[in-house]
Parts: sequence; structure tokens; C-alpha cells
Amino acid sequence: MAISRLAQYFGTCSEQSVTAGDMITFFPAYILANNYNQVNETDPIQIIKAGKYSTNLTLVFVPETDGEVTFSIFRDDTELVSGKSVMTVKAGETYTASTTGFLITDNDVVKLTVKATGMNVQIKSGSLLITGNGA
Amino acid sequence: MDCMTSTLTAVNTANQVLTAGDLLSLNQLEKTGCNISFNGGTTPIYFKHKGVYLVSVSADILGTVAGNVTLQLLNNLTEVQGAGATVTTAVGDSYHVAFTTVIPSLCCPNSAGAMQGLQLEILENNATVTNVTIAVVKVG
Repeated sequence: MAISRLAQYFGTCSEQSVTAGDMITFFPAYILANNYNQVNETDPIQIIKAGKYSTNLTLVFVPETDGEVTFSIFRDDTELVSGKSVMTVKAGETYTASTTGFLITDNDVVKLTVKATGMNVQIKSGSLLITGNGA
Repeated sequence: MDCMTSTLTAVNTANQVLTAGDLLSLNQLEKTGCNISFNGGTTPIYFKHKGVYLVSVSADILGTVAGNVTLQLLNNLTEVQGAGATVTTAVGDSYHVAFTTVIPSLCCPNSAGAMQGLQLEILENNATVTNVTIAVVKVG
């Protein structure tokens, strides 16, 4: 695979309050190749070509309560085993979750979402980079 | 030399005692291809040709005051959105931060005659930074 044929989605996070279990939204800042589809910032990201994809997720956040928070990527509402971060945090402090994940899609349309579970959080900034083959 | 697949890795494992607003100093570890240039220290990592560049950063931050510390990527001295990491530090505690971003570069030089260049900056509070790595790969 030529490196110049990588297909990339890059989304950035604006500041947002997220209730536990709700999706975190990403603005599609840059999309290289026709492997992805996302009409609005509040939409899930769709991978529309079968292939192998890596994910790089970075989230700067402030928890609303003390306890354990999990950030994970969901594929069609099923949590992926990779690309997940579990942190024990204190309310009001600032943390950065940073993960790398991987998935293989064997059908044409896969819906990806990022969710925080365990507590409500205030997202300060962040990004999601998806890199795949099949461009 | 293949100019399509240029890469650059720069590191600094030494303790850098920094004041908020300071740039991080780096040493070139490895470079391939001809699309990226770096003269070391706090000088920018330059994109020499138009393209898409993947940038990954990781570092350890040691708190020297209580408060937020942000490690921020700059492109032409402007903060790159989504390319930063923030931790609330306690004095004497260490934290690992990392982030990855892509930067499409129209290059080179731009209409103002400037090259596009990457630097890393510490913001908000003073901190000691070590084990810094930045990897830049031209991917498109």
C-alpha cells in the first residue's frame, strides 16, 4: 500500500457538556478520500468503504464528579475493545485522554461514535483521527 | 531518495524546566525524504513541500506548581485546534500526555513568504517537561 493512498478523517472537538452515555461530537475539519461520510457535526461518522482503520483519539476534559470515567469508540452501538481509556479522576481538574485503536470493516457502512460513560464531563477540546486503506 | 514518504522524528529526553509560554527544545533523531527540515532546538520543523502531514506528539510533564499545564502544537506560531493536551498538575507529580493530528500544508513558502513550521509550547503554568517525542510523516 502506498503511503500516499491513506484515507484520513480528522475531526476536532469544540467545547461541549456531555452527559454520561451521550456521544461526543466532532467537526469534520479534514477528510482525505471518499471513505467517510458525515454531514453535520452532530452526526455519527460513517466509514463507507470496507478496510482496515486505525483511530487516534485525544480529549481534554474536566469531570463533573469524582470517580471513574471511560472514553470509548462505538461501532454501530457496540463498544470497540481498542481505542479505549479508563481514568480515575477528580471533579474540576483537567485531564487528557489519549488512545489508539484499530478496526476492520467488512461491510460498506459502519457508524462510529465516541462516548463518555461513568460520569458527565465537560469536553474542552480534542480530536479524532481515523486512518485507513482503500483510498 | 524517495520524496513521497518523508518522515522526521525529534526527541528530547532531558528535563526542560519551562515557564508558561516557553517553546520546547528538540533534537533530530531521524529524518527520511526531502519534504521536512529541522535545525534543532526551539526552531520550527518546516514543511518544504505541499502535502498532508501526520503529526504525533508525546511527553511527560512534571508539575512544578499546582494548576493546569497545556502542551500545545503551534503551526506558524498559531495554535493548532485539537492538537494539545492539558493536565491539572500537582507539585512533584508526573503526567503523560499525547496527541495526534494532521496538517494539510499548502506550502511553501506561503503568500507572505513564510515557511510553515511546527513548534511545541507550554501554556498556562510552569512545568518541567521530559521524554518529548514528535514524529512527522508526509502521508499525502
